[in-house]
Amino acid sequence: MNRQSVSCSWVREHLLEIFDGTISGEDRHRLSDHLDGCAACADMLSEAMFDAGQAPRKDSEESLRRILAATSGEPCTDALERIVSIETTIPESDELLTGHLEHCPICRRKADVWAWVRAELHAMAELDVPASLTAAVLGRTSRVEREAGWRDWIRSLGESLVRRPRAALELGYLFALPFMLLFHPAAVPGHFMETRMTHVSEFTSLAQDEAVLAAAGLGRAVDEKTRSLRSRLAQGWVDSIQTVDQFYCEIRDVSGAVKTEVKLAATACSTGQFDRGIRHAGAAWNAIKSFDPEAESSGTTEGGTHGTE
Amino acid sequence: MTLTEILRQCKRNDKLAWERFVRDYQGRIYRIAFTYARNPEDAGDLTQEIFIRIYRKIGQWREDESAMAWIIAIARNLGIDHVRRGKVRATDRTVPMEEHPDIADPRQNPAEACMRDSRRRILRKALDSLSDISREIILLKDMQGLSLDDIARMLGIPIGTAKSRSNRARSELVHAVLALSSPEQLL
Repeated sequence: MNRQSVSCSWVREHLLEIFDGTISGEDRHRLSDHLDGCAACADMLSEAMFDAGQAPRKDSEESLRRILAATSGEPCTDALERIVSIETTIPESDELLTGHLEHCPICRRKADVWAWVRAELHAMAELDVPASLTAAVLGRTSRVEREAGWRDWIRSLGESLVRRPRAALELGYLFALPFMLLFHPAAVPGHFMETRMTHVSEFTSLAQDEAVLAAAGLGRAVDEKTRSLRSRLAQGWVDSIQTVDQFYCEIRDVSGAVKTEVKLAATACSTGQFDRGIRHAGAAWNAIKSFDPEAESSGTTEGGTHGTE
Repeated sequence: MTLTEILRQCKRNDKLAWERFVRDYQGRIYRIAFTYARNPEDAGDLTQEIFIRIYRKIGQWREDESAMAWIIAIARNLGIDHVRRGKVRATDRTVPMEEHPDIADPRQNPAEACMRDSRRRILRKALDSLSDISREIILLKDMQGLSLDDIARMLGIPIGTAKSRSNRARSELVHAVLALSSPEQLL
């Protein structure tokens, strides 16, 4: 401080200006310097300001504490909490805290302690480690197997599956199976077999129907042929017995072929080989058609059902 | 090179990155280990254990999480295990000054060094007198410089709880330091 402080007489002469707050900034600083060193003027001014209702008495700190104890409680706890929550230095903008610290030497001391404790804690984190530690750590970790994370595990699994597509398909089926069981009851193996057996029974009865149709077709063809044979025989077109013999031989061959094909169709269908069954049923029908061309027109319609089935 | 970049390289089994990581972070990890082990010898062993665990588990580190928080979480778990196994020797709670690595610093003048030693001794005693929870939060927040967000995630607590615990621990530390020291030691 290079400025010259005011004298005691100056304070007494300028009491009014001091109370009114009309003294200049420079004079206020000089007055402050003077009051710091002159207890008499400070007491006099304090008494005068108290009488004028502008300031509490100097000994009113005790009464302030009593009032605070009866109302909000001790402010020092909150002050300490605010002090330690500040990461750097206490900002001057925090007027409430700086105002409290100005009047509370205990909290001021705590603030000072926290300042060096914070600095020391930071410094303690910067510690020189034993010289041999790096070599020891690197030596030990070089002998340690790393544990793969689950992402690494999945990646390596994916890479191995790319090289083994069949395993990937099986794995995919395994992963999909629980979802199929959960969301699609028809995919449950038991249910699936049941469905297949229903299909088998349907196809078997179809094969039987085909057999009946084939037999009916054959019977019709035989009737037609017999009728034609009789009329030709009556008209003398055929030299009787040889033609009849030939006719019956044809009937026997066709009948045997149809019977065999129908039996094969039924067996194939009962074992679930539906395509094969349909092929045999078709062969039976073709045998009938080859015996009696008249059956072809109706055979086309019936044969269409094979393809559809 | 940031810690995240170094760890990413380590994850790809880059041995040079691992060496860099050990050299750069052994100090911090040693300090954490020292907090739990309380003596230089055990702290060295615990540091090695921590690095080995990090090396093994590095494949499990997710790059979107804070690398330092992940490392400190591993160090903390091993430190707690170390304490639970009863490896902390009761006689080692007060470390002789000459054995402690951060005491003798020839760059400081004797008066400063003496003051600093005195303060650190008080601070260590004050830290020892705190509860485990308070000491841990001081270690994580004020010594390791972790953010409240990282601490909250690591300890599995809300960020508000982490903040209030931190402030409470700091207040307790200030009170403990004041109780342990004479006024002239604090100036």
